[in-house]
Amino acid sequence: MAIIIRLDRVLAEKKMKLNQLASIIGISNVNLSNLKTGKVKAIRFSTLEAICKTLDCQPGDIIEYVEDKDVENR
Amino acid sequence: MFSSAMKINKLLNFVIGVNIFLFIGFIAIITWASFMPEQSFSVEKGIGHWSLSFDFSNSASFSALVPFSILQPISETIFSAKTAFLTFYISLGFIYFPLFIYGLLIVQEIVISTIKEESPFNNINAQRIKKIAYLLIGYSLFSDLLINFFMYVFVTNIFLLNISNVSFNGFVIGAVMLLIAHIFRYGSFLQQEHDETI
Repeated sequence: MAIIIRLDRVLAEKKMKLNQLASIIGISNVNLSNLKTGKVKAIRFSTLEAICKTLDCQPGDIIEYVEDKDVENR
Repeated sequence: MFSSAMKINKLLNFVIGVNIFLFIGFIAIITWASFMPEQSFSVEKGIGHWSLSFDFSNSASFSALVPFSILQPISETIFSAKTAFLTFYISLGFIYFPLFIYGLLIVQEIVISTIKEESPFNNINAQRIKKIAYLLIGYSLFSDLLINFFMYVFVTNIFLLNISNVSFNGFVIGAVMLLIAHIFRYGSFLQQEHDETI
């Protein structure tokens, strides 16, 4: 998929663990792990807002558009 | 939703149990009736129906109203009351009970999957509803025609299939069920979208 989730990178920068973020924003570890690994089809604005607020970042830091060719090369 | 589905499941268990019990009772009565002499059976012609009776004691009898569309209004001396009674009840019972019990079992599968998955919307349930729809359509179109046919083969030997034996109301209900199956398939798609959105 052309949209890449960069949650792991932001979490590493902020030195926060996935389960800590999950408990703060109030969604399950499984769902957040699915988001991190790109297994979800869509993300709600409210979830994105909660993640950005907690990690003090912009939506663009978490999601990134990469052309399909680039994705295949990675 | 979970508790109401559990209650419906219990009710369905009860209804299926009662129907299996009735089916066994029905087979027992038919088997018993088949060994009774011809004198225990009587037939009476009414305005639009035949009344077929099986007297199993001086004070108790078992009777059936059979419309002329199923058993033609011919002279009652031409056919045997016992054969007519047994043919009508055997064909009715062996068409109605298995289909009804099978339909109830499919409904129960839908309820159980709703309890397990916390939502009734999945493709398997859509297929189950489709099965119920085809059962309804098949039953409404062919059940009385089949009984009519068995009456021709075993009782009257006069071929006359009556088109009024086709129930168009049942056909329409079956068509509506097919529509509901389609709605369930769409519901399953929406459910999947919802599950994959966080």
